Amino acid sequence: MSDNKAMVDAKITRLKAAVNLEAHDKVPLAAMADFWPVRYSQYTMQEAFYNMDVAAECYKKAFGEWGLWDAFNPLMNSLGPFLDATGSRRYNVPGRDLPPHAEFQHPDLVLMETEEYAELIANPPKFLAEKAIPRLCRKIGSESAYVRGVAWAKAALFFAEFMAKGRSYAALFQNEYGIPPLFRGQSLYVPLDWLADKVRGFHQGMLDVKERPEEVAAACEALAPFIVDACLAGVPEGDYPLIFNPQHMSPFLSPRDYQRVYWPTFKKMVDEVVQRGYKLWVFFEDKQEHHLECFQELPKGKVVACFESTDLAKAKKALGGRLCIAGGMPTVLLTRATPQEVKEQTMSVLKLFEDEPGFIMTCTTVVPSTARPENLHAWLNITQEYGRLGGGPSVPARNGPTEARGAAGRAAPIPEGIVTSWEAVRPEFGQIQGDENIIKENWENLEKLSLTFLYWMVR
Amino acid sequence: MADTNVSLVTSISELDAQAALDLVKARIARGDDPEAILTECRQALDEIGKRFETREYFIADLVFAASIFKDIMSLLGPELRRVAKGQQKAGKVAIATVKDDIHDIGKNLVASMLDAAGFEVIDLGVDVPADVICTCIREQKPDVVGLSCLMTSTVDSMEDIISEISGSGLRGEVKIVVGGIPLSPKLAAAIGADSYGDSAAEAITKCRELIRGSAR
Repeated sequence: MSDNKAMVDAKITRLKAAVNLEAHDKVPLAAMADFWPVRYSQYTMQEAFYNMDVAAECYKKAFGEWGLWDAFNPLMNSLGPFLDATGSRRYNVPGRDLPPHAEFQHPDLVLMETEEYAELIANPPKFLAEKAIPRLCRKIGSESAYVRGVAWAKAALFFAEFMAKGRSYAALFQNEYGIPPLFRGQSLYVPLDWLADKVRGFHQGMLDVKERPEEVAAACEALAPFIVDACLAGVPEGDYPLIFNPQHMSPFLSPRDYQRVYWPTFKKMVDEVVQRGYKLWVFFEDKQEHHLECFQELPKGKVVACFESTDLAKAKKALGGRLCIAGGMPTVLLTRATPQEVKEQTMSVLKLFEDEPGFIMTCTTVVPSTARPENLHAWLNITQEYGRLGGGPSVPARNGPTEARGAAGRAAPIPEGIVTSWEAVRPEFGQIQGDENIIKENWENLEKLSLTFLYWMVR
Repeated sequence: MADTNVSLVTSISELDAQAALDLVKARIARGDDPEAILTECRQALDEIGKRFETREYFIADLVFAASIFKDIMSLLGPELRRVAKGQQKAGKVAIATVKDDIHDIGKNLVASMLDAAGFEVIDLGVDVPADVICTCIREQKPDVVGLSCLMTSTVDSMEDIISEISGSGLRGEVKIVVGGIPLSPKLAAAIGADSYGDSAAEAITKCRELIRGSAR
């Protein structure tokens, strides 16, 4: 076993033990970022946004300098060519709509009218293909069949290459830099977040919660199976890496509204994902003390609760010993504080969780592109030096790496959801002379991928 | 026909949009003083602010309240202009999301709440550079400039804007209040702001305090 492989195995074991709330040697360090090292590597955001190889070069340089992460997810959203090819308005693009060094941003878009709730509820992927995506992507919404066809083709080609490159770089970062990924598959959105962020617009989504809660709740119920299937199609079974669930609207809702339109399908979705053998990293945006009681109902040892601004002492009191908690380093300290202030914050969080194996040290959102190198060094080194858990065995044998790889290598369960079922399309084939199953299986495999593709198109 | 004996303050503060709008229509129809109606709307918004502070209401409730107020003002505006007594404004606030940041939900909510609370609001939009803000200070003379950002990276932009206001010799002309997820009272002071608002409701309180402080 090479030194690098042994190190990776130890990191994965440590992270899994923390998620499982089991004793281990030291506090795991995990993080995610989009274009964090681009500025540091002296590229422009535009160069990285238009070329994943550039983004990956930046990560190689950064991982060479900061290699202490137990897991890291580089969200290399180098989407420029796809957005141009389809005319998508989803992002404000560095170098195109923004200065070349600015970070990409999302405008708040309304892609669904109030009276279209019933249509969305009846068939979410059909609504995406026929309404939302053509409205989002000007070329796909073109009156010209030629322009539309070429735009869809380019989108599909880009999607295939984007996914393949992402997987290939994740393997490279693990094998050559000793940094395993934190997440896999598509981001799993809670139905209300998907409804608001992807089709209704965030502002309008908040108003819908107040003005038409019954329709919103019905839409969330209809969206939950679609989102789970689209997110997990093709994702190998296993409890590591984790499924990423970023939340957006939950902090803005009162407990009453939360119970009415957010929590029921969030809980249902978590239960379904866990039942399929996965574990989740849930990013609880902003302050969520008012929902902590609900989170106690999430399945024990199956969910990492990552908090942005929620008081970690309150979170520990409510969830300690039940869910693994992640957080601790506010992004703004990395960008603006002194190394001494970063050290003090790190020590204070380590002290809070010194008796709690279910804790992962992480940045409160993504590692920011303006993080000061000396602050990153201070944060990682102090966590490494002082984040030792009293008396725990260094590597619990029963969570060994062989089991981890074995689990990750099993075939994915067959998702229920597809766009057009074989039964629906079968009559078009008439009499089949050979083996119908060969045609059916291949039809369904591509259908499942197309579900993920439609979900990805409005990301 | 709406029951005009039911309190408008109650309807708005309970976020019963339809009842509130029906009441406003009925009271305009029967010839009530539009400024008296507006005063009741503001009382309701004060009540909503209190419920936000006690964590009965959250951001989505404030956004909905701002939407109700906007609908009411579309009915009441023509009546107010007709009587044109011109209520005394609580102060003038210029508000912007800083350069390189396009997030406007927080900024829009603060602008709506300030408007509802009786301030004259100059909304400069999003991705606003320092020179636009300096020109606004020179030409429109706001009492307060409110700056918003969402991204950690644009705190630097906020600091640059405050620095440029100072560099242009305009810092003594205005008070500056800032808000946004990456900020804290300590960071607000460090980048040169006079005050920090943790929420839309608090931003209004801070603007009132800053204007009262300037007047002394």
